[in-house]
Amino acid sequence: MIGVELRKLVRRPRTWVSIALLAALPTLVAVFLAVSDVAPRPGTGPAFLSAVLDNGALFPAAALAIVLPLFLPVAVAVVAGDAIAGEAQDGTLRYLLIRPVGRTHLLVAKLISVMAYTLLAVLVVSGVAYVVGTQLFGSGPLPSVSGTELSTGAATLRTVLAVLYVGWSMLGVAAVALFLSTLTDSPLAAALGAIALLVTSGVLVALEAAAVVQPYLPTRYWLAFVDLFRDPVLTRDLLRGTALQAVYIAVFLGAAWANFTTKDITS
Amino acid sequence: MIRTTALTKRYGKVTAVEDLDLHVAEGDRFGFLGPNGSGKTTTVRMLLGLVLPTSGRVGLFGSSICRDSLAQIGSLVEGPAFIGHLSGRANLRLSDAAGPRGSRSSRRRRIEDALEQVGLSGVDRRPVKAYSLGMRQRLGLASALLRRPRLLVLDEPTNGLDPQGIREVRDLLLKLNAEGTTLFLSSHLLSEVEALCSRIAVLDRGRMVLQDDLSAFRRPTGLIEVRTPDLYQAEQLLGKRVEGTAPDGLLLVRHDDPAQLNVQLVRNDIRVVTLRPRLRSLEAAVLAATGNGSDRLAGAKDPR
Amino acid sequence: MAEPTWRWGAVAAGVAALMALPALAGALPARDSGRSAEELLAKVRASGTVGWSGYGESRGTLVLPDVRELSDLGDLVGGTTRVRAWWRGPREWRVNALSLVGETDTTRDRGGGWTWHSADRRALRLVGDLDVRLPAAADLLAPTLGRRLAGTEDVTVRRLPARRVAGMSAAGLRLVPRQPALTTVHRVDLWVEPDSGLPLQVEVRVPGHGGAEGGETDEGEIALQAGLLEVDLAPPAQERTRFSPPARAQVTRVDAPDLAAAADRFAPYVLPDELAGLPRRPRSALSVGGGVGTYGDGFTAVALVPLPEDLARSIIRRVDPGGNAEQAAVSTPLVSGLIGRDGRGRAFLAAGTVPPSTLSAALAQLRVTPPARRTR
Repeated sequence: MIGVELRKLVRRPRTWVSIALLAALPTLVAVFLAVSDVAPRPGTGPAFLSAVLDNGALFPAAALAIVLPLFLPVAVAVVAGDAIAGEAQDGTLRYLLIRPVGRTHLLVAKLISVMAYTLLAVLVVSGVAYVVGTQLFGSGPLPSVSGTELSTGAATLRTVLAVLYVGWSMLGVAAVALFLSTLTDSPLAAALGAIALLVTSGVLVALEAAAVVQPYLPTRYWLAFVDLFRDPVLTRDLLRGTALQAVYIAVFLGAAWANFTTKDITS
Repeated sequence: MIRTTALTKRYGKVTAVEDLDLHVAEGDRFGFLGPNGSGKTTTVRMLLGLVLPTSGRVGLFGSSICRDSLAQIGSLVEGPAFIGHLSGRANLRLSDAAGPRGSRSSRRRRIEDALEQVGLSGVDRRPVKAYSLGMRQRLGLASALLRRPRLLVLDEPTNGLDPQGIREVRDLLLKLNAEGTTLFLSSHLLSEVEALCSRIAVLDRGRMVLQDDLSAFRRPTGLIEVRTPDLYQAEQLLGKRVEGTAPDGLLLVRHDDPAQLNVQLVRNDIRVVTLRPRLRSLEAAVLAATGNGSDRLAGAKDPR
Repeated sequence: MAEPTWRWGAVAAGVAALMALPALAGALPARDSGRSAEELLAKVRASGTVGWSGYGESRGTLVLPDVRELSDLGDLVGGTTRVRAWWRGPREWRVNALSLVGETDTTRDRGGGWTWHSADRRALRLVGDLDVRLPAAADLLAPTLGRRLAGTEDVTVRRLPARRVAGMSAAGLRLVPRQPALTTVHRVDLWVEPDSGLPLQVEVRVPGHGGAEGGETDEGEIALQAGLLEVDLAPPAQERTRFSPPARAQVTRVDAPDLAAAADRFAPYVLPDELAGLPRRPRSALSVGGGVGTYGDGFTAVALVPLPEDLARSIIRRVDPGGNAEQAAVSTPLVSGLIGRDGRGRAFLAAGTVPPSTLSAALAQLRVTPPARRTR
């Protein structure tokens, strides 16, 4: 079943269109930067972008920062929101279950397929960004945020960890969307529900008055991947972010499982 | 094959199916009739484990609903459904790979067999979304036949087919039944059920109102239809036995033995064009049992 | 039906367990060391040589007027600052003030200090010390701030119950000024690692609105708090406190003696030895000359800075747009500032943790006896 879901994923045109769009946005930014040679004023714009003109090797991190606030979570929410609700809407869900595919089994397969999509998306985005960045801006030793220089090995390791961290953060989004996807037969509603949660969380994270709930907000530690480029790595928020996402994933997958395995399929 | 006991499904306060005891034996061609909204679909979904009963239980092949029992069922529920941007073959391949009993080595052959059975063997690589309604219906049937099931649960299987297609599907189902496949056919079309089924259950407003062999529904009425040009002589001869006449020369005669009646008529020089016992029609039986379709919103005192 | 219920029950139980984890961790009891207040205070004052590293946050509730020259300061005392620090001694440390996507790092060595701004990849080398400068993130580090406040002599000290800070049991200490009228500080609460005396958490309170002002019953309001959330009480490796600018960074060099000399040339004044009743503080060993003075100590610190005329005018205009361009006051519950002119019309800034009246008195004193020009 897992293989079937993965095959469905790669044979679906939407998968590749959305990933291409995700990779196109940072590329567009890079081209504008290269042509105009004007970096955003320091302290404005997405993380790392002001330093990219000096060093294209930093562009994968900058690209992640560009797609992280909106495009990536939206893409993941759409794919995960479609997982069950999309099958329900197309009517194929009943045939899968009659086939029979166990409901838990199907949920796990869907989750793995969404995970594969998420990982694929961040890998393609950062991979394309690396090629584009080094071609347009040249590469050099990667400077850390703390003003030290990182060896190539360390820089690569940190970039890989950043990609994984962002991927893990997106899995939290996926879990929420997957849960909503088991609630409704409309993939659009599931995706919008997850996005609404993220927007709410984003607003509250920026609101000082909401400090009490901030440690529990799903987007609270998203930007902590920047901490991987400090020297030494500041693990505090990274660990919290990882744990928080793990809780979101566990809770919402649990809820998705509880709901889906006891649900009447009337689609 | 299928045995439900006191099967009940409530959605909140609405009772969709109540206290249903279905029994489908091996080799049956079972017709499940009922007007729209009578709980047919809910029942079919409960049989297939899609909808969980509020109470009562479903037995399949002598056990409860499980992976093993479901794997022996091929089904078509509320129309076929496919991944639109893939071809029919690709859809069948994915569907076959998804569940148990889809051994990879025999997959290609089983797919071709199933397509051939439903008359789609020549289908090309175009995506399913470009198929006509009839082609989709055939592909849905092919998907149901893929694992050579012991039991076919079909909901309106001839929907969208042209008369030629309906005939083909009917023949296919009869052939499969003859080879040992049990058929469970849910439909609101009397003619379809009448043409295919050997046993019939009728559902009305969530309750079963009839469950019997088709032959029991169609027992003789004790009347014999006689068509003759010598209408007057015949009436004279039979006297009080004549229950009625039709203007086109059809006599309704109360008589227990058609052969005896024929002999009597012919000996009295009355020419007989046709003579046959009148059977009770299924339609009449069903209408008598169900009253109105439950999607009608008329009050209790229906003018009909 | 029973089946759906148990699944949801399992999920609900899991959620409850996960939610309870942080609460359980926070409920660990704190052990009290039993040390006396005086003993702890002495340890705190001597804790500058204790090596440690860690992560901390400081939070201020002071609202400064929107003046560009003060915007960094405004963020510092009016918002939350996240810092990481490595401390080997008073002249060997590094403090990184973290923002979401960058950081501003300050390192200190025997010859001076480095400041690194990651956002525009700018490194600033300062040679020597400055007598007066705007507060920076390093000053709001709980150990630094706590030590500075604990240096005050004119206070009464008593113990508070221990509390868990950064995963350790920290002994509580309360400092209350003996002469509340002289300072804006209502009281200072410290929580200290009892063996090393390292302050782990500091709360600076100003008199509250409720209750008798400055009275015993007044709990006050927190104006500034700083705390460590993670701390390692081992001296960090030396390379952690060093800085060398990375390639392609823009490096600027500033000499404190040059600055001081420039200030001296600009304002070669002999500042009074006593200002509004507060004695002038001795200058640091590395500082040279200097047209600025610091007065008082601990809770009653005042800085007196001569200002260039155009800077003074621009600040006055923005603080008090409708004013007469002669004087402007900035006042927060904890810190007050006053720009005014002396008897010869020269602009001065006086600022400190004193009531505005003290600053008015200071400037009045300058008007009566304007500082004399230093003769070389």
